[in-house]
Amino acid sequence: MKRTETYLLNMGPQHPSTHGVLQVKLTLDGERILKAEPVLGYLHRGIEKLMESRTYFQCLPYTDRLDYISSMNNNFGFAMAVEELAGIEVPRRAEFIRVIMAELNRINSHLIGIGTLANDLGASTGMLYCFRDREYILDIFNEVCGARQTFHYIRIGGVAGDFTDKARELTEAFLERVPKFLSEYDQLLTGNEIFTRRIIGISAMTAKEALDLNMTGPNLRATGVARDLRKLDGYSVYGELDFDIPVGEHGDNWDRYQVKMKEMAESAKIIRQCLDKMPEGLIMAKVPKMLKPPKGEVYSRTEGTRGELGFYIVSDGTTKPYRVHIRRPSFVNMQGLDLMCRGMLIGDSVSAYSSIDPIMGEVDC
Amino acid sequence: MFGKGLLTGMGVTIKHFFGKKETFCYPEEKLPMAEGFRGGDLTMDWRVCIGCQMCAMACPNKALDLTVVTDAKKKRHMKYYIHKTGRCLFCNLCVEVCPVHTLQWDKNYANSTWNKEDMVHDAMTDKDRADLDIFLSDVEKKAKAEAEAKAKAEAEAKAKAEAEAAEGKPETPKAETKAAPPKPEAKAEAAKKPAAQNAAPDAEKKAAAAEKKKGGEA
Repeated sequence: MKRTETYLLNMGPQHPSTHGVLQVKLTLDGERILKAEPVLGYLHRGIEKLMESRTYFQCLPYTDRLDYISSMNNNFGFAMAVEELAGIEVPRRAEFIRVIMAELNRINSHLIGIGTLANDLGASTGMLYCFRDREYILDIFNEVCGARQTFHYIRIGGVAGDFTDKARELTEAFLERVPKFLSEYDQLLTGNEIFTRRIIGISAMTAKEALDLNMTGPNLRATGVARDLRKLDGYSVYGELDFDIPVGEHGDNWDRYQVKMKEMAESAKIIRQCLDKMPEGLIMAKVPKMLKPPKGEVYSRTEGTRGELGFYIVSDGTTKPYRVHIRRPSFVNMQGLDLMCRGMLIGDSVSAYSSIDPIMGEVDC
Repeated sequence: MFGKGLLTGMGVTIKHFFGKKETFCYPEEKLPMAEGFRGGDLTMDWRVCIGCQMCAMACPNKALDLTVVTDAKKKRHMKYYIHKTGRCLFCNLCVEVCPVHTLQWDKNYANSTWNKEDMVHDAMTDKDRADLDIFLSDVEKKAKAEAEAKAKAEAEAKAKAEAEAAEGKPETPKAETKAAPPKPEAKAEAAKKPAAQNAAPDAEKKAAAAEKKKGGEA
C-alpha cells in the first residue's frame, strides 16, 4: 500500500519572494500546502518601546520606518493622533497637502505591490515598468521634503515644507501619466495569459473569513466589503472629496490585483480635486516647542495603504508618550496567509504573499 | 486566442525598446539633488556656531557627539562635531533647530563605507581646530589686556574721583577702540551680556564678524 507523509518546508527568512525577512513554515502533502505558518520577528526593532523614550516630535521619524514604502501615510496617522491628543487645529492648506502626499504615496505603494506581484510570478518586465513610474512620485517627494524614502514630511500641526510651484508642476505632469501607465499595465499584465492563470481563482477568501481575521484595506475590499476609512470617517478633508471605493467579488489574487489598479485611478482623482481646491495660507499650526499633551489616551485611525493604520497613544502629561501601540495593517493581514495557502500548490504561496502585500518593517514593527 | 495577451505585452516592450530611454549611466551622469535634499554628512562653520548644542538635543537617536570649549570670555565654541552616520535617521530635526542656520547637509549621497568605523564624520577639520586654537589664545590675550586696561582705567577713575571728590562723576565705561580687529571687539561686546538672552543678535554679530574676517583674509 502506498503511504504518504507530510513534511515541513521552511521558506525564508532569506527567500527572494518574501518581501523582506519573513519565514514561512509550510506543511506539505506532496505539492499541496496543508498549513502555512508565518514566523515573524526577524525585523523587530522595538519601535513602540523606542517611542516611549523620545519626545512626540522625535517619534515621527520612527514612524517612517514602520511601513517604509508608505512613510507619508504613517507620518499622517501619527501626526493626527498627537493632534487629537493635544487639541491642535491644522491649517486647511496643510490638510490638502497631506491628502495629496498620502494619495501619492498610496499610488507609490500599490505600484510596488503590483510590481512585486508580477516579479514573483516571473514577469520581471512588469516590475521594472512599475518602478519606472514610481520614480516620478519620488521626484515629487524629493522636491517637497528632500528625501526619496523615510520622508518625515507630515509633522505634528502641519507639514514641514510648502507645496511649491515646481511640486505642483511635477504632480500635474504625473497625473497626466497615470491613465497612460495604467493602460500600459493592462496591456502588459492584465491581458497576459500566463499572469492571469497564476492569479485568477487562486487563494480566494470570502468576506466573512476576511472579516473574522480582521483584515482591512485592499485585501478586505477584494472580498466585496466596501469598507474604507476615508469614506467611513471622512477624516482630514476626505469628507469633501468625491471618490469611489473599488471592490472585488471573489477575494482571490485577481481581485486584490484589480482593486489596487482601480484604487490608483481613484487616488489620482483625489489628487486632482485637492490640487484644484487647495487654498493659500499657512502650512503649520502654532505648536509649542515643548509639546505636553494633557493626560489621557487616544486611538486615532487612518486608512493606510494596506488597511486600517491605528495609533494608540497614552499620555501622562509629559513631553514623552507613556505608551504607544500601533495597529499595523500588514501584521493583521498576515494572519490571512494560512487560509489563503491551504490546499494550494507551493508556487501559489508566493502569489499569496505578494497579493497580501505585507511590508516586513510594519509586520515586525 | 491564447497568446494574444502575450503578444500585446511584447508589443509594449518593443515600443519602448525603440522609444526614449528612461535610464541614464549613473556614475558618469548624476541626477541633480533637490534644494532641501537631506543626505550625506553634516557641515558647519565654527565661526558662526554658538555652541548651544540644540542640534544634539533635538536628535532622536543620539547621532551627534559634540565637544564644546569655552574661551576666556565665557563663549562656547565647537571643537569636535562628530556625526555618526550609522546612527543618523536623516530626519532633518538638527538642521531645522539650528538658531544660526550654520548646520547644513553636504548632499553627497554616495557615502557608503567599507567598515563601521568609517561611519563617523567630523564636521570640524584639523585646520579648523588649529584656527580655533589660535583664536582661543588671541581671545585670552585680548581678555587679559582688556582686564588690565579696565583695572588701570578703574584705578585712574578712582584716583580722579578721589581728586574731584566733590563732583562725584559717574564712572565711564570702557573706551571704544576702533582700531582693534572686528571679531574680538564684537565678541568683547557680546561677552558682557548673558549669552542665553542674546543668542540671536550675538550670532548675527558673530556671523558678520566672521564674514569680515574672511574678507580680510582674502
